[in-house]
Amino acid sequence: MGATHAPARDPGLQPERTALAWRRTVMSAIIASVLIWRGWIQALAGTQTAAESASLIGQGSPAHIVGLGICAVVASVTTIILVMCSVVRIRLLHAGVGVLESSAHITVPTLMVRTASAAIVALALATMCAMALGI
Amino acid sequence: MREPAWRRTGTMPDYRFSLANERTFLAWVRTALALLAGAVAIDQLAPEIAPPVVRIILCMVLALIGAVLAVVSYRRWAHQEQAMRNDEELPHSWLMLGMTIVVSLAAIVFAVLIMVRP
Repeated sequence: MGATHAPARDPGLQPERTALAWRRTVMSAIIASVLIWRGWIQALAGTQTAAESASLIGQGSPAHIVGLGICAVVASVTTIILVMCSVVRIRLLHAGVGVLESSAHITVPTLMVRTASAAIVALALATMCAMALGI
Repeated sequence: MREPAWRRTGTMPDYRFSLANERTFLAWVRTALALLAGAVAIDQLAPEIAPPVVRIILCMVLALIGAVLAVVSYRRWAHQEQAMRNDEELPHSWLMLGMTIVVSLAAIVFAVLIMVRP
């Protein structure tokens, strides 16, 4: 009976895979919001886009630049919210690995799923506003 | 924070099923994010792909589908969790068929636009 009792470990590495899924999601959100920032920075720099724009407001006007800036800030806030969800979730997953026998410790809180979903909706709205303003 | 009432009914599913459901939610969320990133990327990086009005409308539709998909993926996650808790059959969803059609249509439309581009 010399064998030490090995800590419970999921042979399917489910918690680890879930943590990686959160990381991938955060990376996708960063890409989406960086593209909105790119549009704002181009407007700030006064770069005229190659094609004539279908912009509702004149390109380079203060309203155009401020509007794109608001979209970029909203996009960043939603991304930061997703990063925070992911950090908390990964911490919960790692803490839950030791106590796999009690599912309550490792399942995702409803609030986190709702927050992530709402953050994507807000990011989508920022994206649509930025495109309407004519990047 | 208190979990909603439906999350306290029935029995708690095996954690592996819960985590699989969570990963499916995240995969749909990434699909939504890909639609958003794709819409802005087309708008910014390929401005001459179509007349401006057509381009804006197409990109808006893609982004709108991304927003709807984020909400639908939450609802799907909740319904699957409810079914697992109450030991019911997993609910049927048109999401997969719907998104297959959306992605195929988008691919065809943009392929045509690229081909007819002067």
